[in-house]
Amino acid sequence: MRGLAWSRVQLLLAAALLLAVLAALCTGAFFFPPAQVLRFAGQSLGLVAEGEDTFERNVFLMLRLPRVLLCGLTGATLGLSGALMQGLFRNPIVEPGLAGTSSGAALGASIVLVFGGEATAITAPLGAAAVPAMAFAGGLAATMLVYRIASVFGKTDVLALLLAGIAVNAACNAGTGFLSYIARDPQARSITFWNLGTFTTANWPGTALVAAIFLPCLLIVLRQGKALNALMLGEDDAAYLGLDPDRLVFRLLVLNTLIVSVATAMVGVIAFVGLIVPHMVRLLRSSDHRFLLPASALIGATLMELVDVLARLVIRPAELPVGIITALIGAPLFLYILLLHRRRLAG
Amino acid sequence: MTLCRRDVGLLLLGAGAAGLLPGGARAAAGNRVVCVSKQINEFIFDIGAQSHLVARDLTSIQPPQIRRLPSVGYHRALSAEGIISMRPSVLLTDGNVGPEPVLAQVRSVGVPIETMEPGTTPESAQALMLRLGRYFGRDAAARTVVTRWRGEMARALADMRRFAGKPRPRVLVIHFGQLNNSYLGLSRGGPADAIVAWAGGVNAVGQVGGMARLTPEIIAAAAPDIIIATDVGYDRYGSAERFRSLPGIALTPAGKSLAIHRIFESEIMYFTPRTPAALRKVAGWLHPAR
Repeated sequence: MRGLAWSRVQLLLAAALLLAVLAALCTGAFFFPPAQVLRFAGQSLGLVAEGEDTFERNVFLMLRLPRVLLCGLTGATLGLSGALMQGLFRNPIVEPGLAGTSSGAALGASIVLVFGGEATAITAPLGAAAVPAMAFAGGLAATMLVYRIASVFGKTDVLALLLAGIAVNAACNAGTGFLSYIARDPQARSITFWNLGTFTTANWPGTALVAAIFLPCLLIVLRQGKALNALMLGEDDAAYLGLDPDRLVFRLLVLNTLIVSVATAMVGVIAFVGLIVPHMVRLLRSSDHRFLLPASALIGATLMELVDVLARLVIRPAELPVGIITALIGAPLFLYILLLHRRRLAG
Repeated sequence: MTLCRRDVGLLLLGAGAAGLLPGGARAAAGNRVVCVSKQINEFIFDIGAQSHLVARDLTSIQPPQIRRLPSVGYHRALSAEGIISMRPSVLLTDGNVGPEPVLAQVRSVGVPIETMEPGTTPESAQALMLRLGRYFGRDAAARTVVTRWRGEMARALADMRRFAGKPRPRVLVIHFGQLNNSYLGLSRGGPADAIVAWAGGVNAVGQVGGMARLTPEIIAAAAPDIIIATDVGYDRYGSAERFRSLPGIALTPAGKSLAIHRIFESEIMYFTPRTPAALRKVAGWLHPAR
């Protein structure tokens, strides 16, 4: 892959994502042959006459399709966010959860799961949307708190941000831990499952919301590749190149918080993807952000689709939480790429 | 003995379901039922309506034959596609199911969801059995099961009267919560507490409602004379001697005298036609013949 031009690699990655999406559309508790998937698409566009398989079509259009799309969007979100955060903090072990977003979201969700939607006046009218709404509020609040604490030490002090993130994460985790401790058994189980992440609850409104937030943010972030490269030199040097590092970091962190909060609110906490995907991209080709950012989004989405296919197949017709599988296959995959890279450097 | 009689009953009822006996051909439940409640699943087998079942939840493992059916997952972490792929005529629940959006998805593709309140007293459990009888078109079978159940329950309770004047041992019922890897004490309210009281015992952790998370100090302070552990938690140790190594237990009278017994979760966590037999078993442990 090293010999190929960036654009070629991007095309290859896009093709891989397309294949993964197709596989995800076809497989699961229901198996839809590719020809049937195409026919459903044709029927929805009015190109093909209605068939006799209306039930299958309903399952495909109402359950499978939004799920596959939400899954891809979430993977892309986590991959992009990982690349973005590692760039902003100039630290390769940073992941999207570090700024408090995931743990804050988990705390918000746990409050609803333990006390019910009626617990607060705000969530009562939301019904089933109370969990994602509170998760979003929790994720946002925790991340804002992290930035607020860090800004006491000076706006662009990344070390202060990391440390504040660790502190807020610990506090949120303690809150979630306390809630699951006092919870009755079924509620405690709901918290555990939420913390493992799942795409089972995917529906069109949720998927549309994630897409509406993520896609514009993606376009904005992709244009900042060059600026992020400059930032890698250090904030002072970036300033000499005519950038305003404070403004850049702040703007990108706001976008990052937004996309991660929305995705986490919909699917729960999915660890590891945001951490390893950018490393995969770096090892594959380059750490230039103009390449790293889009490639991380593509690989993140592909990986997530494949993981979700596994989650749906392993104990069919039941499902595993995806969070279990991301770590299970993510870790060895990551190690394999790392070893490959080592060998290449040695040879 | 009870198991044998039950198996014969099941065979007879199964034969009925297979069409050897008239009636029950047109059940409101339809022929492809996915049921995600262990109590209801057991009852469905009791009335011989198991031929209607096509899938169960992960925790429904009684009677053992039910394990042949595919599992659609944990009842609080269901997935819509898994359920729908069974092409169910109905999804039967006891209300303890989730997540909520999944239920909405199941409804949205036209699969009806029927929720039946779980039986939390012998009377309401018997009412549930009768309701299932009507629902599956097996009225007569359900009435037979309930009549026998009531009779056995009344006789078992009458037999318990002879322990009325006897000293009441302190009993700790320990259920292992697989989720948090923690041992829970079954306290006031619920079937375990009732069974212990009928058997002439005192619940050693009866001060709080529901399940209490056990710490070594709570166990020691509860000072039970007898410990009854549900199967999963007991089997992690495998014997009373090893179960005693759990922190706090060795300090209790039950630990010292090795009065530690194993019981199936299904015998003590909800009321079923097996409750009278379970009650006699527990009473036997509480009042050993000298």
